Amino acid sequence: MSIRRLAIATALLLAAAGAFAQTAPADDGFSAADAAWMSYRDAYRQMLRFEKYGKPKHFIQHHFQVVPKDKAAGMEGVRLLLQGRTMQLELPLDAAGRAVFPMSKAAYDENARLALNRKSGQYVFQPRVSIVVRADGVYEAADLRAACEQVLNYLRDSGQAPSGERKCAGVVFSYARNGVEPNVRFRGVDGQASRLRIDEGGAFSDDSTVAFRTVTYSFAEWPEKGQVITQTPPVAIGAVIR
Amino acid sequence: MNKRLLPVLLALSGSAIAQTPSAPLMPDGSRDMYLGLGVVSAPRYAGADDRRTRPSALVQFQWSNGVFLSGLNLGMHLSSTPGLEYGPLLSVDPGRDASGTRKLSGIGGVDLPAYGILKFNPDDIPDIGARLTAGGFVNRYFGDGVRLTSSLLHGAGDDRRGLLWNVALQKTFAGLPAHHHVSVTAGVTWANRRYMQEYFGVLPSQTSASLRTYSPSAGVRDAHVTVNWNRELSPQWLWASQLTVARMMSEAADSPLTFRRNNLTVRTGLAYRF
Repeated sequence: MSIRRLAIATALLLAAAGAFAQTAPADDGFSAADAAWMSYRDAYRQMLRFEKYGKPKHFIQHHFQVVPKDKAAGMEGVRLLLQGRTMQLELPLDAAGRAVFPMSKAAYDENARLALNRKSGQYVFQPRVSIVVRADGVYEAADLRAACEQVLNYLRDSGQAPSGERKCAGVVFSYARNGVEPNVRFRGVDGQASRLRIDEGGAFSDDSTVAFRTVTYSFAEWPEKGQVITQTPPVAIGAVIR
Repeated sequence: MNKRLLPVLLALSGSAIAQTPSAPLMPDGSRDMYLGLGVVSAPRYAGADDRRTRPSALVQFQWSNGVFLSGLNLGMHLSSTPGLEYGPLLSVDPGRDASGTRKLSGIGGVDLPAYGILKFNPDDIPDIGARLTAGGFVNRYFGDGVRLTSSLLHGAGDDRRGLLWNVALQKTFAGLPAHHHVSVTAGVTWANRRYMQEYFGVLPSQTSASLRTYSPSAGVRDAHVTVNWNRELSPQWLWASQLTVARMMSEAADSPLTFRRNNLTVRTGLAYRF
């Protein structure tokens, strides 16, 4: 008897939930009932955690990233909108799908949502830690090793690190496929410079899409002392964690 | 998304085990609140064939200054150290009436694994009043979505000298479909002799044909495993469900008042976030 009552009550609550979850009719795609979305409050917590992170983080930065689940989907035409009761703010996405996240008390208090002009299930919202791009394009090898460790330590502390024993193996510089050809060199303490190989792949080691031309600076293949020099600024610098 | 950061593992319970929501990460002066209704189905008494289904309130308020109200638990986060949470905690021990039913049941909050449910002989069991208990909590994060939680509360029982210490390990799973959040919590609850005597003991004056005198000592009261599944329907609406299996342990299990060691509790409900 009680199981039947539980089933009836559950069915009623589910019906109510379905009604409450309905949103406005589709217009520009952002407000469609099946539009991909994420709670601004939950994203805010992730961003604030990085702000309050107490360990070294001077080589790294934190973004909010939109990633296609389907490799073929791509980021062409994808737009991200912050929608609140009294606000509507478009957040520009860079080539890697990253947005500078606005830390807005008003959006938090309004329990706003982050919405895509794409259907739910096609894209994933996630925090993204990457290495800061230097304006002069000159990176000390020791700094890149430290930057990778900072990324790994933050991922571990925030519970985002992949399971198992992970180590920093290098950093990857990613460039748009239709941009100028990447030119990344390693210059040793003797002044000799060697150009690093260009591949194709994702901007980050956990990204399986093949959307960029990438140059991987592998720690094991190069001396600990020296410099990595980029002729043009990359879209992103990611840590290679294996 | 890092599920650990989602502070909404809502449970529906009048549990005496106090756990705490994650430390607040919000703008100064803001708050994060959930209010909802659901149903809970649990054995009326452990070992009884009939189950009881009743409505259940779902309450969780958090403020930016660290104060939180989660079900029957009121506390405050004091730690500024990442990965570590601690603070004072007030809770209500629900007690039980002569039929063995917990008082104040049906008010729930966050991360409240159920405790064992007992079968009582309504004619023989004295009433135990609901009591305000006081203590604190300490939680520690270990990465990979793993959190160790603990709470210590004193003041349960009619003589207000019952002490409960709960320790649990919680794993939050990543990589699930969007808007689905699942965590599993496994823990134990230790009780002092005063608590055990009051809830599981039988005094000579309470003995009857069906009850022998029993005087338990301090020990592990129960071990429990809880699975929480939350489904976000929108930024405002959340569907929360919970399944708990609790096993009475040590001298609580040996009590003549305990007729069934394993207990299953199912809860589900809808909450509005505002």
